[in-house]
Amino acid sequence: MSRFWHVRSARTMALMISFIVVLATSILLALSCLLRLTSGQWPGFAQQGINAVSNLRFNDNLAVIAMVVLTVLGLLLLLSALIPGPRQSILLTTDDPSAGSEQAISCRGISTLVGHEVERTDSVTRASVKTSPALVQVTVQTPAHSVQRVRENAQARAQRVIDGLPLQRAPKVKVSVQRRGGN
Amino acid sequence: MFRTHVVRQRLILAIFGLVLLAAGASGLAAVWWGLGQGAGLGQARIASSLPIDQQYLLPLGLALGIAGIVLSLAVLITAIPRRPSAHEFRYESSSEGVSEIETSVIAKAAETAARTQPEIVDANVRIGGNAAEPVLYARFTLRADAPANRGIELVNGRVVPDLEMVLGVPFSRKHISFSFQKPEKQDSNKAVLI
Repeated sequence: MSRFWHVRSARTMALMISFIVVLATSILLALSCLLRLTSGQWPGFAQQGINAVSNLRFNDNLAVIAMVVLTVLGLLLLLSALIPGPRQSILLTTDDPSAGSEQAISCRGISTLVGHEVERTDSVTRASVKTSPALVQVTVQTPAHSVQRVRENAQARAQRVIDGLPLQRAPKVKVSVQRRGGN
Repeated sequence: MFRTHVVRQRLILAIFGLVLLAAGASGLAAVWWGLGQGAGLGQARIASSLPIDQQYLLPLGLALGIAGIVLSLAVLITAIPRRPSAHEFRYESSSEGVSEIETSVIAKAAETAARTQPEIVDANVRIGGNAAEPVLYARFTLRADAPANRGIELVNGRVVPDLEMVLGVPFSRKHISFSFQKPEKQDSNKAVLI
């Protein structure tokens, strides 16, 4: 069964930016050649480009920089296509591919749930949560002096939320405390 | 709720990246290490190495430009994320004749019904496939201050079976995602001990 929600990034943004650049370059190229064919003269921007390239040697700094940029850009695009991005959801125990049932909770949803619960902890003024399929990273702010107790309470609450969810593979919970305000 | 073509998009990106990498790296290799005919290439003017004055350059450039426009437009158009499309299901029965159901209407009704449940804040439902093998795409946003399990059980035990009852057949595939939303007012019963 092909999945709909529990998928890795398709790198749509990188693909779109790359091919918008290709499209713009292709339009300029086609337009330049068309104008040269019809009017017998290169358009201004193309003439400038040709003049600049004509005086350039292959080992000039500008040419080398252009080649390095091309190489780095190619490498980045290749790596972004090959390295699988993290999934943005966690499968539920009710997920059953053989029965054609995909069920997942979004990582953002888990962050909201854990954040809401941790913010209800005594002495916690604010909580921010980042969730990945492997880790729930909770950062809480408190004016309290006994940071350790706040951390333990927040950790217990966050862990209780994760344990209460029917997840196939529960992420670990890590709580860090920042002391803000108070005396 | 958008569908993207993960494998195809990554493959196109990998090929494009490989082309850029090969072009850049081969140029650098030729200039720095004198690969192939590149020993004297470093000192050569680019203009003298490229066929700028050749007659075939203009038609070739035009063809390349048009090919680039077509190719990039095709990639861009297919890369736009799309929602699963709604369908019109057609049922034929020897006793009751032919009936048609617009799946978007059923999906809308299911969303409205789901939102009336106290555990569900929002619902986004799409039905694809065909009348014999319908496919469900749904995202339910549950209240963060209600037990999560109850919301999930409600969706699996009532919302989805009700939809299947309306369609007359079970879904051949179900793609369901859950999310959560905080209530607008926070609990004021906690103490802030300094």
